[in-house]
Amino acid sequence: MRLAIFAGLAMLVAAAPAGAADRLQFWNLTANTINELYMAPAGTTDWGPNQCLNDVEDKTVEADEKLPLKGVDAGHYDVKLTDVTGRSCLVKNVTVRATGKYAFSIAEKDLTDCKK
Amino acid sequence: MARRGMLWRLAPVVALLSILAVGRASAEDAAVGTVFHDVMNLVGRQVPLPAGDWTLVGRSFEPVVSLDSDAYGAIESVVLFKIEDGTVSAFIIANRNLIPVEEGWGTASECLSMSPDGDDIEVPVVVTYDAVAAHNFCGFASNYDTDVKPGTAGSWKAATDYAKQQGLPLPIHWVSAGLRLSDAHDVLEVRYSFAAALAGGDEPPAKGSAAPEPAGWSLTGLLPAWLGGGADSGPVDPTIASLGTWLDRMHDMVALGFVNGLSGLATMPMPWTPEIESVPTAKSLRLAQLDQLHQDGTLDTAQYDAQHQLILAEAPRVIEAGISSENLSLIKALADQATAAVPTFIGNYVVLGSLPQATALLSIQTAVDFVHDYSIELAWNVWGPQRLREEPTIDFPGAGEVASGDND
Repeated sequence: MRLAIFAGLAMLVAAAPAGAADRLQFWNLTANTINELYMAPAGTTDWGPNQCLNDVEDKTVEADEKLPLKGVDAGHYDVKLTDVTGRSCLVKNVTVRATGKYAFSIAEKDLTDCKK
Repeated sequence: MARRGMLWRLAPVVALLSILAVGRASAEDAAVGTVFHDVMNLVGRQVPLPAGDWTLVGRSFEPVVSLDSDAYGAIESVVLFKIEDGTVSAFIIANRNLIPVEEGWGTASECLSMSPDGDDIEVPVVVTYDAVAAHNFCGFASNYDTDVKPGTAGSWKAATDYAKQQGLPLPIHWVSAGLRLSDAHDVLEVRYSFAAALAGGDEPPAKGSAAPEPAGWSLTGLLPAWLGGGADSGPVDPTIASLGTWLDRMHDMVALGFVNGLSGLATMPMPWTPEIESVPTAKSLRLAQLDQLHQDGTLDTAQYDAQHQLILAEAPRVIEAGISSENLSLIKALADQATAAVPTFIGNYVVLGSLPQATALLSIQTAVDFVHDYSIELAWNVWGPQRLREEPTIDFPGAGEVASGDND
């Protein structure tokens, strides 16, 4: 019985952070649709998967649209993105929050390191 | 639209006074960048602001296109931003007439769910609080886009310029709650828009309309939508439904602001916040204000009791939307035919003694009577002494247009 209770509690504890992480969302405040978005812990090149693939409709993030993030926890990240104009940009040291209506946003003014 | 009367004859004087009035107002007005809380005064009326800091970012004076034949169809328009985390999370656009008119300000397209061109627009929540003798008060909630159609208001153009100058990201998808209140002379329209990406909470799925229903028997409630009846109430987006509830609470505040009665009242919380549950209605705010006046000794117990009972007895007033002259005439003509068919048929059969002939004659009588009855009813409803007054649609320059469906 004690083992069952312990196992149940352990499952709850394990499930809670995963649930919170699943709710993290990116808010595209740039002027264009983003079709690729990669995240790496700040200062590294350990790029994760293309987060745009999480979009269920068209695998892109339109302007003023939110995108669910997978496999991402709160912290500081470098973000690499490509938009439909063919512009590739790197945004360094973005803070990802686990609370609030969105985890992080990127606006046009943040896109200072871009190339085509 | 022709408008006649004393003010029309005094148009040159009124126009001169308006220029002077505008000049004086401009000199006294707050500068762009000024932060407001709780209430903002706009051409002598109070505009209630939801909780938080609201920055004045745009102001314009402009004519109303629908009233371009009037010398005094001019309004002042202002835009305020709510800025959170370096982003515009909400904005308010408020319009107020500069000079009184004589025959009212009509109503907004959203209040009729129909554009001035007659096209349907998707407004999930529409509430008519008043629509009698040029007095109109309606509320609406819908999705709203600021990128499909560029905003026409000078105040909105100034606001977007402000956002660019300040490096403020400006979302393009919003959920919007608007209130339009006017009497025969003055109008106040306030539209509260919240970034769609940030809107909503953990609302349960909503079924049907979020708008409060008129009390008692309702003619339009029994009619199909094509006859001017209530729209088919499909599922309402929970975020919009929740905003409809907030709108219903906010309508009290706008009504009080229209008569400059907001002083001393608590601020309305933002929608989708826990605080909104603890500030249910303007009635409770007025009761608290009354309690305070009693405690201060301003009102004696008898006065307090009398006022307390009056406030408690006030019931929310929601009326059914108006029906057009054409639709009312059609309904009455149809009712005439339906009720007259059986006795007419019996009379035909008694005289003619033949079922086929009685039936054929009835069809001819019905067709001729219908055209006759409809024409007479329509003539009475349009030109008769107790004719229906259909309020014109008078839209003010805005920030965008109503959007359809979900934005997120």
